[in-house]
Amino acid sequence: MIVLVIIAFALIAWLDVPKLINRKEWKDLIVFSIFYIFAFIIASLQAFKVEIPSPILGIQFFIEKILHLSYG
Amino acid sequence: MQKEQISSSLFLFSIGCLIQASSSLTSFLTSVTKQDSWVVVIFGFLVSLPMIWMYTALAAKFPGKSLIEINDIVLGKVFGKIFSVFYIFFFFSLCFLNVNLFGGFVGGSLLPDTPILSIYLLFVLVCTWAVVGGIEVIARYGALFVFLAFATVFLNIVLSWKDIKLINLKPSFTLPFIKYVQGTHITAALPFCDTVVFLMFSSNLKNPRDFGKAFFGGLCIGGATLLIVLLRNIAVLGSIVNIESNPNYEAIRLINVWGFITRMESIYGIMLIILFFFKISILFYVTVKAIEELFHLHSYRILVPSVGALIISFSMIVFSSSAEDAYWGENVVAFYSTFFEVVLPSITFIAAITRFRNRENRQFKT
Repeated sequence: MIVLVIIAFALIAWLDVPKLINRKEWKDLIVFSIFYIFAFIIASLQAFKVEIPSPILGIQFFIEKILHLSYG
Repeated sequence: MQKEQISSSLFLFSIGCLIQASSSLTSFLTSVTKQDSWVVVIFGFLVSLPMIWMYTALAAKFPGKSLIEINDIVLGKVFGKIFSVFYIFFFFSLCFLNVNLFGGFVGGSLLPDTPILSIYLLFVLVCTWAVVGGIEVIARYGALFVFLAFATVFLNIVLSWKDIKLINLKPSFTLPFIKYVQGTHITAALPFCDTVVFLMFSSNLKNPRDFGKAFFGGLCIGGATLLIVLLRNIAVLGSIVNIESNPNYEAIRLINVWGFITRMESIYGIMLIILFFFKISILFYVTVKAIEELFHLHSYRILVPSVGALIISFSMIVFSSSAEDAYWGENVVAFYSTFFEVVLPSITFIAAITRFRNRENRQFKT
């Protein structure tokens, strides 16, 4: 599974990074890298079957337990 | 960079299609308000009207500006950016929540033996393709899909005519008052005010003056479809409508005309996949477009593969069971969406009328 993740992300980098460097779009490259690295880390963790907490369940906890807003 | 432009009619159909795609969310509603869900759709529509008026008023005050640009102009660089980050998270969360819902439908009803990852992967890949094509391409699909959805709903109603029993709409108005409040809140927040995403397209309209008219037109198309679909489901399923996880699918499954027109749910399944494709493509596009505008990038297209990968990853982890999904949909999601669809736009709107009240020309022009 991790091999597929690496191949997919290598392909994304190979398609986009050279274009950005050639055009000297450094800000675009930085923003691209932030999302790219974040996506790669999350996908790799999932490939290694690491349990990642759901952001929605965190938001649900905040709404229900901190703000006390819920119909439940 | 040259801005993509869409006509008012395509914009109208896009809004209608986005609301039609939410017809799968009616299970959240029917489990709360049962046979009275159709009434709640009307209430939800009426409650959402002031919000829609506010969205269109914001767009009219800043013609040619998108939501992210309006935030910057009205709230300043710092607060504007903070609001924009909230919106981007909201758009992104709608993406992965809807992909998760799509996976639940396809994996649960159509392809139960297929690994869910491959369903997500293939689906998001197709959406990625549409998003790279741009809003002109996606909006053109929208017009076609609205008519296809109408045709499917009409065909299914005709074929299920013998199963439609108006007595199933009873008992009416017997639920506790809070259930109607909850149902109205869910309907207003989920399908109707989700259209806040279209504030991102106010800069893409060929004629920005038509923004309000097209917005209300789209809302009416979507609202009418939702109402018809819900009435059909209740009239066919009766008191069991609230225990079905997908009432549309179950109501259509009952179609049996002379023993040879059966299994119509496969047509509904295909239609729902098409509508999901449209909705998620719009949400995906809005997410990457908002990031592009936030950081003033040259193009949103470089972000599409990474954000697509994130959508797949988050869709996999968002809910561990369908019970969690149902609980979120029935009890919490309305409050979550209200923050982004009512609270944030209201602050922006009040700030806009306060800061720009004294201008001779009420429209902000750069």
